[in-house]
Amino acid sequence: MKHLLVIAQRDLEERIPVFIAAAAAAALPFAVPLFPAAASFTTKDVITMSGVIVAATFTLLLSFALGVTLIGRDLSEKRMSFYFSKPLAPSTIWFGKLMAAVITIALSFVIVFLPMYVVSPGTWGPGARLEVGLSNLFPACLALLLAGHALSTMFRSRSRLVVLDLLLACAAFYSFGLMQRALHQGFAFDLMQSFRQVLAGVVLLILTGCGLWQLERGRADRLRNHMALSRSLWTSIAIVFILAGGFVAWVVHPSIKDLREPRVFQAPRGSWALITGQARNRGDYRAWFLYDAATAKSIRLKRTTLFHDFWFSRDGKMFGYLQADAPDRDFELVIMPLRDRAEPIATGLTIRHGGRYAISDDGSRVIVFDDRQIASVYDLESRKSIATVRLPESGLVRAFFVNRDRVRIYVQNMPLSSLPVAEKSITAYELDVRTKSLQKLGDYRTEAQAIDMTPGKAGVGFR
Amino acid sequence: MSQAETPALSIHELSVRYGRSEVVDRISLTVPRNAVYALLGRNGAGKSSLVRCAIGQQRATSGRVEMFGMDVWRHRASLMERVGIVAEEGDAPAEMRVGRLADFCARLCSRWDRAAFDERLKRFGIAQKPRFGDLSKGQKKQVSLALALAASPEFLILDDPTLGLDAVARKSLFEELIAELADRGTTVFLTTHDLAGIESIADRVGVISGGRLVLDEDLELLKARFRRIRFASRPVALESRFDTAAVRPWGGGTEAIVTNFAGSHAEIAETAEIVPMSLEEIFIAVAGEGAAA
Repeated sequence: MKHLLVIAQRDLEERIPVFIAAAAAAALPFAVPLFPAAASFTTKDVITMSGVIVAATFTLLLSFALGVTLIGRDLSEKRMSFYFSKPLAPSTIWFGKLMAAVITIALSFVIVFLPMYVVSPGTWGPGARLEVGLSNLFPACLALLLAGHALSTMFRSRSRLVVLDLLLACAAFYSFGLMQRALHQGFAFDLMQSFRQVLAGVVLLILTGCGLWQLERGRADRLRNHMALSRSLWTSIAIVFILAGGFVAWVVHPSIKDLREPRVFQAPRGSWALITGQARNRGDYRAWFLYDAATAKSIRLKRTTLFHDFWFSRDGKMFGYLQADAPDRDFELVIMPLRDRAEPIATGLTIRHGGRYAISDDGSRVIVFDDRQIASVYDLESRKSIATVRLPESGLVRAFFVNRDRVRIYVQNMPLSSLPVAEKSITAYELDVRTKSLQKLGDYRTEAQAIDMTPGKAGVGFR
Repeated sequence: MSQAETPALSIHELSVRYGRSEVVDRISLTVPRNAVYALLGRNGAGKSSLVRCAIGQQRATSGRVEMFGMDVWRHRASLMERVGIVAEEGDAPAEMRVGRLADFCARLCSRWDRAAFDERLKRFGIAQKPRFGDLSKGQKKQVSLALALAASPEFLILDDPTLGLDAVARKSLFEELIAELADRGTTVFLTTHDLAGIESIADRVGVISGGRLVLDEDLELLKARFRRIRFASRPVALESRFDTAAVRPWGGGTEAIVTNFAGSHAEIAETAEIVPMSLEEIFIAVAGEGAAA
């Protein structure tokens, strides 16, 4: 411990110019109100805002710079042998230098931040969320410090191994993206955040451990340091990512029995229903199942989207839904015959975010509405457009196939500016697919706050 | 083997490989306590790699290094309490002042002798104030030596300590080394190009060439068995009588470097000129171009 403090003290003595620079940076926020552009704000607010920006920027940049020089500079300048020729364990060198870097970062932040905080305390009300900002700043500084160290070790070794490092880093980011996407598809936003925080914490621990390992194995040689760091880093990350991947796979594969407070959407006819809900012990991850009450069999739907994007045929024998890699992307229409051992059939038809659609009861045709009031009917087998018309008015569209060749379309006019008491109207049209003609059937007007349309066997019921 | 008999350094079958290139090839050597062992070799012969392995800063590809009977890779930190090291390049932090460097080392070494450090600096004519990075190459070496000796080491390891130094700095460094040996009998292991400098202090000499230890012998014995013999004509039975490192034409006659010259060989002395060889000449014969040791 004594030797660790000696190392830390030595590094801190070297950092006196950094503290002088921090003191100079602390004066910057007090100069900002002198600029004409700041005249429209109060002096206190300008000092506070610019003080936070200067303190955060200075601390983050300093963290990365310290990381880059933590060990890498001594290695590339062949000075690491100085420490290894003394009775110092690698752990003493590593943690001593790390401790000095962390103290430098914290002290520099205080030097930059404190004068501004003392001068304008009134601006730090509950809404300022200072503690939130600080609690995010320091982990970010630690991450930059350790990442800077790892990058510095890799690049300063001048080894071609750095190409492999970059490839593995890309693979790690890609794997992380896949895991995040899997959770995103289940709308597990809270779980995603916790997952990110835990994974970031573990990666920081790995980087800390690998820094020690690189000195233990590589000692004063920069190439061997790089090799030891890379081996330990990527092996540890691979193990952690395999475990994390296993966890995500478990989260996204709940059974229907795992759903808590499930919501059930029954098909108009038949024994099938769509059941959704958050899965037990899986945070806010939401799963979707098609459930056949007759056989008690369930099928888990992957990559589903929001509630309103699914569709049952009126005879209850066909199901359609939109799937996407992420809920904010374009969607692909998937149809699925509701029978035992049925598999989802991806139609290859892309529907833009917010687009509406309806499928014929036999699942052979689909009508898609885009945001330019254009309605297109596609034959799903040939994947070709067989009729396209422009609707004479815009609004919320609902439609259903009366039969394969006739589509009933309802356009609900609901000007947002006049909500909720203005008169609302629904205009009904019928599209003849064979003649590609659109015929207006009539209007329905009401002053109700909202209108719910339910397609039935003969037409649409309004509520 | 008692603790006092345990060699200061014992290297067994040490190999170091960088990729496909084997820079140290199964070298074994022993440095007894209180001895001065000089390891000689041309640039790139593998001396520095061997030294790095010997002080636990690099792991050998194979083989074993023991210092005072302990594995140097595993026990490096505790062994460094007993060892002083002068690296090939001045490796102390460049921004540290000389005095602060001594303060820093004093807090790490239990047997630190600050007075001896200050005294040596005075002898070298170096002040405490300058930053280490601002010193000349010779001054850096002198400060490094002063730091290494101030820790009162039992074993001093110097990696080419006179490399790049002028004659005055070289002389001052060797004088300091000789004084240390006279005062405390410290064991010394050094690599060097400065053959004239170490000839007067080395007890044992090793020559490394192409990664292999081609010679490892007491200096006196070595000098006794090497001779340059010049004949007016080529003697008939030269190769059958002596092991020769080189035979080449010399004026109208022949010059031979023999490696097993022993005794007076009075009969040869009548017909040939027998010249003792300096360490430098022996080194060139053993490790120079076309050497056949």
